[in-house]
Amino acid sequence: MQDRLAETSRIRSALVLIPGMVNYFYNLNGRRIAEALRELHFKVDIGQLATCPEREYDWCILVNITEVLAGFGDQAAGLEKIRALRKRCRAMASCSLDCVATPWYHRLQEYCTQAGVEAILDLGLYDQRAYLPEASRAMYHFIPSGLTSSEVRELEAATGTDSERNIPWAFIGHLTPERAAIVDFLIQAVDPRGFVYLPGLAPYTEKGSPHLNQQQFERVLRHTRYQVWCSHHSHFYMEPERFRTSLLTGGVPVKVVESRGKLPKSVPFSYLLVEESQLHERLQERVFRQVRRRFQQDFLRLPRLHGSLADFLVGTQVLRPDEVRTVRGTPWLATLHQVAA
Amino acid sequence: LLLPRSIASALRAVAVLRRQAVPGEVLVIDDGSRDGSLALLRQLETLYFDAGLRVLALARNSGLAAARNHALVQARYRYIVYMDADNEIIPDNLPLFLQALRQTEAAAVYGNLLFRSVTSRCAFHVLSNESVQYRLFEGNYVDAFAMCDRIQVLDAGGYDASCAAHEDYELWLHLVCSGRRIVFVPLVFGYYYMLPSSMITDYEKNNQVNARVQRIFNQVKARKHLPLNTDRLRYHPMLGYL
Repeated sequence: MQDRLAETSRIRSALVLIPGMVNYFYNLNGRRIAEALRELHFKVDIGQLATCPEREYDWCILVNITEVLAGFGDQAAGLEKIRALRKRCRAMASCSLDCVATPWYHRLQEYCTQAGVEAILDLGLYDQRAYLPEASRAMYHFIPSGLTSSEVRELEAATGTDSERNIPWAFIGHLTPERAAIVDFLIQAVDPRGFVYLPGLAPYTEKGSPHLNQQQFERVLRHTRYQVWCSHHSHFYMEPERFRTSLLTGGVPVKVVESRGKLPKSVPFSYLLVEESQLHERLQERVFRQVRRRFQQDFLRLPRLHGSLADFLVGTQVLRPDEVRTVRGTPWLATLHQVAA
Repeated sequence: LLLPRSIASALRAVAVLRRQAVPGEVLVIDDGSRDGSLALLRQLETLYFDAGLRVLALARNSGLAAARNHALVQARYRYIVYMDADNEIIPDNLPLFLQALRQTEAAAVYGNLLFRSVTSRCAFHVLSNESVQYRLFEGNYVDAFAMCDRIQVLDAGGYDASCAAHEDYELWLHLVCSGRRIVFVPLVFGYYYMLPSSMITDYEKNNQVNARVQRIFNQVKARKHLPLNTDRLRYHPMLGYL
């Protein structure tokens, strides 16, 4: 009986590994996951592979394994270190923020296999399981990337007037021929005064990169009505970072797709996926508030990030279902199922 | 083929400025042409004089640097935009670049140039798309199609006529090395139309130019250890520095 009580009250521990010096949005997502885990009453350490504590954990998540290895430097030694860490953790996963059809997802999968990481968590807006070959599906877990509690508070605080939202659209990302063509269309057909920043491909570090960092990116979007972008590859993907950043800065994300006819039927926010020829109709100032209200309402219907993570952690027996139900009195599994239904 | 498009866009840009009570003019420098261009330009000047078109004819061909320095001296206003025949400016964005130049007090501001072939209907590349960084010493990525503060460029000595074919690059590095600021504005400034004979496509010559400029400005590779007033300066009139 005492053992059961001890088990009930035991605080779980988690390690969130972030890359540190390479693409900053992985660091940002590491911090988001850490916040979500703390809401699930985990004791969370967050750090880099080179300096992570030599202790045991209930769960470890690498955000993500490819970037963590890049941040470490020596790939072979990094993999060895992750394998050693795996032995000190009850369960281990790598996060993914990628389209599963891309070569970099396959590389991530390979690294996971080599390091003994048993799960890949796709923090996204759309379940990509159907795009994976049968053999790769067991490892894949879709985690709806809803907001954290601090993001909900940020969103509540951000709802104000739009008097300083004077930039009609912004197109930000690394330069590709397709992106240059879309910017040309926006200049000619929509409004020439859009914010355009398309440097060459380089790591998105928090300092010293030609790219905008997260703070600069958000500052631009707070003054912008529509954030427009297109994928830099030909596979379908819903970029969760783009959608969430637009949401939190009070704008509307618009993704340019080659053909709406090719979109999966169940894709969320389909009204924000637009063909180039429709851009001049969709990016009008007069419909901005209406579209933004719909987008905000739809996004808030997504399960919160700690709810999605709780569901996964129960499934992998890192948490027990009754522990999850006690988190702020919210039955997350039930909420998740309701939303899915 | 291209010059009328270039001049027409410049006249529209001046009209946009004038609507905002900012005076402006379009100066066309005829560098001793012998192909009948001057006669055509004089006709255009007559037609569009009230719209701000002025033609200055040099008695003999003097080269790019001399023509641009002539414009520096002859221009009536403080801020100038250098355009080549294969450039087209976006008129509605000109006031924003002017605002950026005034607010930053930089020697020059520049923005994205959409790169099109003469026959294509949309761009496939973007030039002048990043702020000035140390790597400018390794190769030029900022086109001369930019807005300058005439006083600061004159103070710096203008274009160096001895640097044939890389006057623009030399001027940028000279301004940077003499403590002036060059600022990237994240808006589209205009179009660059690529011709088969464009100077930009002469890769062998560009490599030679880069090697020479590096010998002049960065021979011992010490630049990255020296402070520069221009380093990653990005400025948007509605946002300030980014």
